[in-house]
Amino acid sequence: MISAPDVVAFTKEDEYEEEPYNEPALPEEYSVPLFPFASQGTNPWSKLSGAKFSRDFILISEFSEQVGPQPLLTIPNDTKVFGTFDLNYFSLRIMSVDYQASFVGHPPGSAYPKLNFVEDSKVVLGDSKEGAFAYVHHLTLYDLEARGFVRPFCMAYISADQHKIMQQFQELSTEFSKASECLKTGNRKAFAGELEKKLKDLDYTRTVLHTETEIQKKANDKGFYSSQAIEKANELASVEKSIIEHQDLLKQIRSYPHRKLKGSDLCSREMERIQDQPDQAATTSNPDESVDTDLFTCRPSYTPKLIKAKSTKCFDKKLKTLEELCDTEYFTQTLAQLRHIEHMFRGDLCYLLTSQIDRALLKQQHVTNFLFEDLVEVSDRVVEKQKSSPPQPCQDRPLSRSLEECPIPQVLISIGSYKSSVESVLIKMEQELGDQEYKEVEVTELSSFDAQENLDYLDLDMKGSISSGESIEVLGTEKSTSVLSKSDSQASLTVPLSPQVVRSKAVSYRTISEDSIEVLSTCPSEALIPDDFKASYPSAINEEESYAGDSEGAIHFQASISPPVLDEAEEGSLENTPSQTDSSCCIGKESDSLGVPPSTPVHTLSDEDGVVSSPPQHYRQKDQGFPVDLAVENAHPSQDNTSEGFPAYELDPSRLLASRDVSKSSLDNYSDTTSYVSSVASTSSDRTPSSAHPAGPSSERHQKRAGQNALKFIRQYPFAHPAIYSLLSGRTLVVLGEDEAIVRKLVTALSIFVPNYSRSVKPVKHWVSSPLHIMDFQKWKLIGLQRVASPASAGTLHSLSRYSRYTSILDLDNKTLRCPLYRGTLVPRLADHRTQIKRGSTYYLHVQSMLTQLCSKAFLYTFCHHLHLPAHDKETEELVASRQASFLKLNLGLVNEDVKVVQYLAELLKLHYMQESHGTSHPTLRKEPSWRMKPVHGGV
Amino acid sequence: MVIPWTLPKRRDERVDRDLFSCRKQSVTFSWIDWIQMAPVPRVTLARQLDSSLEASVGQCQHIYSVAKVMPSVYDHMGEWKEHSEVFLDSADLWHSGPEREGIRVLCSLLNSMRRHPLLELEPNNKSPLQTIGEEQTQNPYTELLVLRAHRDIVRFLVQLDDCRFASAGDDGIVVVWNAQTGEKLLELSGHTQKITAIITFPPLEACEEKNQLILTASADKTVIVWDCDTGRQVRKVSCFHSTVKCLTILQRLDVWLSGGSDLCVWNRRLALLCKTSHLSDTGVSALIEIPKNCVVAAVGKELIIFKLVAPTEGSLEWNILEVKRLLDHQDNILSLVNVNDLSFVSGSHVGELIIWDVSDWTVQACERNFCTQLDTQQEIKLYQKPNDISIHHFTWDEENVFAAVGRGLYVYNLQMKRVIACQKTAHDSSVLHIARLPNRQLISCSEDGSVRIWELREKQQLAAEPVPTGFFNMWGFGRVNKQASQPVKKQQENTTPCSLELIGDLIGHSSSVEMFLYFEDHGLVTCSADHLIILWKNGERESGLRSLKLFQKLEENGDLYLTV
Repeated sequence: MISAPDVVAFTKEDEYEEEPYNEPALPEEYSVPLFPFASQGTNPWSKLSGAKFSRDFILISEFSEQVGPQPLLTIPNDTKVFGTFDLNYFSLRIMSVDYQASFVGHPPGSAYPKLNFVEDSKVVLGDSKEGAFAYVHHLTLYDLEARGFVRPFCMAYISADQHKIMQQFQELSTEFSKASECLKTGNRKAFAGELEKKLKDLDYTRTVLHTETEIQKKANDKGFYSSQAIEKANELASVEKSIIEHQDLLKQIRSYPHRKLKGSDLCSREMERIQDQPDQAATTSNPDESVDTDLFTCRPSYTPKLIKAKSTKCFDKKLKTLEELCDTEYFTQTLAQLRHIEHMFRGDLCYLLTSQIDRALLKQQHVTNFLFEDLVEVSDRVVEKQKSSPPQPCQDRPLSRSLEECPIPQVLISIGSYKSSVESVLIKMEQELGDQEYKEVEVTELSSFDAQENLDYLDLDMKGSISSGESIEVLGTEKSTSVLSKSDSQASLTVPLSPQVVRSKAVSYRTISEDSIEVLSTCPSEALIPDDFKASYPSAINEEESYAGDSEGAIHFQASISPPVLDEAEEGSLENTPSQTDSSCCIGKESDSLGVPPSTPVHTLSDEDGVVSSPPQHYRQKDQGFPVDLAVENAHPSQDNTSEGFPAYELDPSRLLASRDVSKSSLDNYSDTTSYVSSVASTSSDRTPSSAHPAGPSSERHQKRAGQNALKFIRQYPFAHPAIYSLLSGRTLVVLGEDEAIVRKLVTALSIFVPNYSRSVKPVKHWVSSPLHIMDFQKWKLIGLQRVASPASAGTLHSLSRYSRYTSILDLDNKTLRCPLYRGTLVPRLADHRTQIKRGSTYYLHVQSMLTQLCSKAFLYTFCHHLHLPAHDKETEELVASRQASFLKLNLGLVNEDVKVVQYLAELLKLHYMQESHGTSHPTLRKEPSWRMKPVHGGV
Repeated sequence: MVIPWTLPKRRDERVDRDLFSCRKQSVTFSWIDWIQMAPVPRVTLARQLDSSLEASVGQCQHIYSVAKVMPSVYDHMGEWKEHSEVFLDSADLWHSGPEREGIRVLCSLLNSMRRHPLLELEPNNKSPLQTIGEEQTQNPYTELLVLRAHRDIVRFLVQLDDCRFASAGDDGIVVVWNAQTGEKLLELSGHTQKITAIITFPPLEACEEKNQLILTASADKTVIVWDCDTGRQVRKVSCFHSTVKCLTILQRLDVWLSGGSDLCVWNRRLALLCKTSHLSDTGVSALIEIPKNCVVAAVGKELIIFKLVAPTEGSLEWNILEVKRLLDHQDNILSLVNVNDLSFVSGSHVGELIIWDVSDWTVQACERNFCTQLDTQQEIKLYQKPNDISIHHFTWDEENVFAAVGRGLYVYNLQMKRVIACQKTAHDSSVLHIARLPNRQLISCSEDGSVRIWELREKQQLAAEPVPTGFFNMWGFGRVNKQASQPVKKQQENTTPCSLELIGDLIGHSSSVEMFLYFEDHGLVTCSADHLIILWKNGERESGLRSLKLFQKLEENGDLYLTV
């Protein structure tokens, strides 16, 4: 093996990467038989062997009232993906799991048709024959022309990896709920529009009939009515009845609790827009009036048609397509969301889990993560933060909060079932917080009564908007819910049990092997789900509740395992979800086979180190130095043991994640390098969860290329260390060269080492051709500068030499670097030219982990109270300074110039922290920190 | 290397001639690299054209006439004089038509002049300029903050209180800044032309209006009083006949004086109390207060003492009387300051430094020999330019007067009545402003765009060095730098007991640094012809302050548990 860096430097990256796969042929006797499925382009991690499709996909099916279950579309919409997989058969399967049949028009005993705001149900099922496992999300859309006004649909995430479905259940559920919510919102809008049209038609019909009747009356003064007249009168009566029915429907659809939708970010803007309209309607005292005004204000262009007396329910009519059902705009949004889901869950389960953990950990480091994390991710995080914070001032919050934090699980359970079944009673509960438990009992008891009575009761409370549980008969569901919770949950929950026990009771797992369908777990209604688990279910109706509960439930769960509750603001659901899903959805067998212990936030940076192949002594040294975990110091100590299982991750993550898409790499747009690598890139791009929106430049692919080029730079240039040191210590590095492409490439590569000022600015300028000015140095920390041969460049060089004390100059053409001397130990670890890392993305991860470690040092240094403030009044500044120095040296183990790096990062942290808390009070100044000058010690 | 002057073709094309100064006795012009990358030739057509350049008198007149027709040339240009300055606005360079043609002519003229053998000299290359490496352990200013609000040369900085200062310049606006954060607090705009003088008017103790006022005088022949707490324009006077070039406040009498072509006395409400007769066309260039209700005005080569007569029981009128004219200077007086209670000092264009007694206005001491201190014959020949020894600014402490003489710095001891330390080439070009820091340090800024920090140190090896006893030495060969005919100078050379050591420099501005302001707590503020103001901060101190703020903030937010 050639290990001389100079030689390595000139090997082309791609060839180098190919090496492991083009090993010289071994003698026959030594050769290991190839992996049987190697022909499919898979590797031993792949579990695709039995499946008839090549990678995960999303299927949308409908239970058509005319033709039965039928597949509508798949995402990605490529026949290569699902291959020979029988979509029709699978549609039948997934539609048949929906235990709740659609609910038909007139419930017994009710005068008018009632709309159900039906819960989505979420089911996991497996088909061992097809080798497919699916998360199935059922939802119901309204269609005026459909039977019972409802059209059942389902969205299924189909994967060959059972564990993936089980472990990602919660995430899948969250994401699909978003998609479903989007569809349903659009559908409600469309349905309301449809109703309005219908009402106009009816109104018109009534007028026409009325005049006809009048004419007949006048024409016929004999004193008795002809059969014709009677018929007309009947017709008129039926039209009027129909009008009332439709008005009632419209009222119902309008009275849908819109405030609960606000948590959904996907289509919030549109929602708000349409929300205005129903809100108006809701506030008006007379709903009929509002309907009328709507009729004439909103849709003036519509010309009413005469409706024939006989309402024809013919089967040859064409049902509306999904797109028509839910408004094109929403439909496309939903598709985008689904594509996002597909993207998000691409790749190996291990990879998904690690990246989730990774993200969760990053989220915890909210003080430091702006420094080196990608801005896309960070901004995403900001969005999340915003998303999580607004519900705080909302009215329902104190209630739900206090309830969910209540230590007795029984209460939580009952509230959950209550909410899920009768959603708007919650409003009433707010007022009567004290006796809500009593109320709950009352309702469940009531629900066992006669239907009419119950409905009356509900009517009383909800002023006509009835939304019930999830299935055919309102009462039936209510009853079953209460029965279930009584028989199952309540019995067990009178004694506070550990969540695991509750979960195992709640989860049903049965295998019907004859049928070749295994229903692994059904979570049809929230009543079945234990409290802590349910909390992270964004259900269709209780959107706000579930968003609020999202973190609450997670925290609660966390608290029940490890008493010290973590910082709840930072504890999104994400870091808990792996463990939660792991233990809740999977039975023991799966979690064992996976070999991944319940992941908790305890394993932090040190675990990430496992990914890189750096000499081990560094870690040891570091561990002795100081504990690396930042925000999780107070995590339960007993979990430290579990985190030791993580060396399993020492495997190159790109190997793991490459499994699924290898054969499908051609699907991806990226094909400039080897297909293997490109598949890695595409698979792993779910690190940026916002990829459903137009993907920014800072994609995984971008990171990978940056990593690759950085690796090249490190191998090629002996002065890589001082150059990186310059960047880390805040000294502007100017990359001078003639060729724009080369300069840009290097600047991109080096940009991974540049600490950001804030979340919004990346202080990197890829290409400048005009002479630099002092403002440039203040703004940018890494600049690509054009070298011009003409005399006009005199100015460029002049300004460079004038401001040379603020810059390090890397001359690409002459291969020289002018910069301060570096003698630390940090950068050699970060950028070892003899590193065994071969892939850009791996190296990028290595850099990220090292930098995170560095950030944590800076964090400690910044926030150690005694280091910066004098202990008493008489203490001199020198004493404080010496204390700082000794801390940096002894506690953080920094030598020589490394100290300056940490000090610089600490200054950035201070500025950023103050800027964040200041808000916008210093808009002019604090956008970028004041520029620090560094005296030069020598040049290279 | 001589780079020909050329015009940029387009506006975005950048011509870089970073502060090229070519200085000859007669012609000074510099090519200023603006922050907007707009090159502006600044042409000083000096008064004395030496014989070798006689031909260029005509050329200079030509340039002048070209420049004068341009719309944006400042109106204070009078008729062609021997010493006139022409400022060309950057916009001129992109004009089409006659202006651009004029500029083209200008450039070609400048090029032809620069080809003159004497003018091709690059003074920077041959000057023994002291330099300092980038490791400056004694230089505390390791952070800087660039403040940008002005659109033209920033010429004046004035301190308002502990944490605020105001800046003013050729764009006619005054900007009030927070010295700690660099925040722009207010922008005061009311002048239509460049500001020529700015002064703070401290609030009266008795007065209930505690707002800080500033007075600004402008080339639009107005003076405006601003309230710099609210940004309000309090009052405006526009009855001047000429540009007011200096302002001074006699706080004791609660009046202020404006000096233009005549001297006017105003009260706080901007009522004209009295005025002198027309003094000179060039106007009063400097004005200071001395005891006994007197003021000294520098008018051309003369210092005129005026006495202010406050209203008494006898007369209700204010009056200002000329008391005496001091004619000791040979050339235009550029600087005039009060040194202590006993004396004031004035400096002229040809390097005369005269210390006057404040009570009887007599010469206490005079120092005229800066010009002869240039080291070698050669250099004298090359550098014989009065520009180089003009005294631009003074500062002082109890014992010494520090003078910015040409490119050099001189320390003149009041007791010993002689120069005790000097740095002949402290900068690449003229030193424009100097100030003394506490611990025997001195800061200077210059046209070359740099700011330097000096420390006055006692020479240790002085005792060991045998003092030459004069006579032979005066005729000694091999010591070309000793001028036989100047024993005074020799004496100085040999006996300066102190030295000015460079301890740090601040590089940031790309053009002439016009002025600076030292804040005890917040560092140094410099303003420059590149339109920028830079706030130089002590890095260590700022870091400590930030930590302090951080922990305060943590406590406020209740986030301190993060560190527990």
